[in-house]
Amino acid sequence: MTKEYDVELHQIRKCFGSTVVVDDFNLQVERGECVTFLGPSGCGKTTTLNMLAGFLEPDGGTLTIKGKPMNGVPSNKRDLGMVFQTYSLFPHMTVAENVAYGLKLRKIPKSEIAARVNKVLELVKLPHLADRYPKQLSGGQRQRIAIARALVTEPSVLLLDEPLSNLDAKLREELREEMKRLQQELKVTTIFVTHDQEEAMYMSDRIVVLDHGRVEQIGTPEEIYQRPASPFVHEFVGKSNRFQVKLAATDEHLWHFATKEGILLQADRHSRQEVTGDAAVAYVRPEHIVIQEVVGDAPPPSMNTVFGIVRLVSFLGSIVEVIVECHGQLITVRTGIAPHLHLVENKFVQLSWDSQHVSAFPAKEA
Amino acid sequence: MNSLLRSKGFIATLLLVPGLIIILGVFILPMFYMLMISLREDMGQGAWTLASYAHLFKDTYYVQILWRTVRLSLYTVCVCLVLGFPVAMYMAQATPKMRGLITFLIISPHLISVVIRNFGWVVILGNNGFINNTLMSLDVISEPLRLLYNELGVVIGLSDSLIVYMVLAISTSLYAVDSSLYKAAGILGATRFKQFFSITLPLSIPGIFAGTTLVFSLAMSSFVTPALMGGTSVKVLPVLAYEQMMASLNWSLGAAIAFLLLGSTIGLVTLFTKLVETKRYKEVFSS
Repeated sequence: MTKEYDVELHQIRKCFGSTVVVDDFNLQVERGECVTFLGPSGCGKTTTLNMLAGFLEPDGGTLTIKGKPMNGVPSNKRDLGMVFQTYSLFPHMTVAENVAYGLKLRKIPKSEIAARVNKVLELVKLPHLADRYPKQLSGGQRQRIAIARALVTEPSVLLLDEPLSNLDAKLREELREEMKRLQQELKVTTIFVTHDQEEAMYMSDRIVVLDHGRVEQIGTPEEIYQRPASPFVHEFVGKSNRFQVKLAATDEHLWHFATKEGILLQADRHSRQEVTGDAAVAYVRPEHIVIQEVVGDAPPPSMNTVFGIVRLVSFLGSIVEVIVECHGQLITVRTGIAPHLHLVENKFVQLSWDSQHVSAFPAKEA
Repeated sequence: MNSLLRSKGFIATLLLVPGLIIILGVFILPMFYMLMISLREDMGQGAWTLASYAHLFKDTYYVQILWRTVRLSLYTVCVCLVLGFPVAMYMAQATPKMRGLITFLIISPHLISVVIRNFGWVVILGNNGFINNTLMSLDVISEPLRLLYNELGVVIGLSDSLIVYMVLAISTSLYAVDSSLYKAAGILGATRFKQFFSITLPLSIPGIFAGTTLVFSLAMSSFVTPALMGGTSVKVLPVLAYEQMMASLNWSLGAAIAFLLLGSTIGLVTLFTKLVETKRYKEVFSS
């Protein structure tokens, strides 16, 4: 059986004046999948969502929803559901009327509208608020109602435009859990736009990382985190220690790098992007670095091992973040709570990591 | 005493005093004096009587003129609403620069005296005016249309001078509408047409309400425009009150006409307010 794609973007391109904001965007979203557009502001994620919604027309490429070409089709004929950052509930309608709005436009009989509104309000756990007006609700409640309004018409695709950005941290976690539950229960194909990588990881089956209108990587949250396709993805998703290195030697399995200050790194060549040329960047994630106390004098640096002085220790609950100065470079280390390690400032420590945790990319030509 | 002097409430009250004195002196007292004139013989000095009011209702002439005044004011409100709404909508979605320009354009005619503006209309609408001359030279009509010195002329003149209040009131309430509401309605399946009737119109009700009340009250009490553009055949209450006082020197009847006008305006505006301020209106628009 061939896979069914609910959303297909083929070479989508959008310019504002002479600025290209989205270029060569290709994506296929399967039925029931949740795909997130992740990137910093100005990366083109919202522009692409607006093109899907029909608020903007692409300047090039084709856009397909449920197999039907959508170029030139107005928003009201696309059969979509959308949740906005600013909730966008109709202030002059009660909660029930807001939710019923899309159903009334579809000329569904009154009794069925009432039943469906009730059901979807149960789904977001707010049936008791049906007769309230939006301004009488809290931010979290408003967004739940907005989600209910978007889901009640059983749209082919649900679009979420930074729906959690206006909520405080605690509510945000609560609501994203709720949204994930709903998304999986209803198996509704979802496009989620966010600049928050944690939200993206939490919600998505796949993430599209965007930068300056270009797709940097498409992959599962794990792939994006474990095997970033570019320096941009490595730095944008999760924390990374960056090393400006020169290629010293290559053998069958490993690359050997060295920084100007003399830090030596080895990286596995296995299934990584080929490093060509002299200059490169290498990354090691803070949680992949092992920290140990050192007694006595500093030994010379060896492969994937450096020595340094603790500069800052921060307790983050389940983990401790330590910033260590080695050869003038600050390296961030994250480690579980280790009572045997007396991590205090100015302590002399050894940092080491495994070559499989070093990712290297050819340095961009300046 | 010391604490009373220092209290903010006291100082605020103190600041109101000059304004209150002016309102009392130039508005409340003359009104009260007028009321006396309408209710007592000999310019408010003699015996109490309701004769002037009785006269107003005995003769259908005055009731007809009251009805005409109300009717012309309602026509004016309708014209201002229909012509003003699109302008207000355009202003609400325009850039701030454009918005400023339009505001200037619709206010600028008011920089000229209303008398001059009305004579401008005479030049345009008269028998030998711009419109009639153009239409006749194009052989669209064989004899001039009567556009002036009738009710049409008064409504044209009043709408011209009052539309600015409608536009500004409606555009103010439309600025407050979050533009993403239209996107939300569109995604849910609403056409532009449906969006207008389900979102734009209901959310502009406070503006329509304010604009209508302003335009109606000002039209009811306007004197110069009906006098100049209605001529002698289209009399309205303010013109009649003026004539009674200045031409017939019947101050008592003139004052009674003025209070009839005031009473009917207040009555109709109150009725309108009651109709608009439903339970939903209060829930949605009260802060």
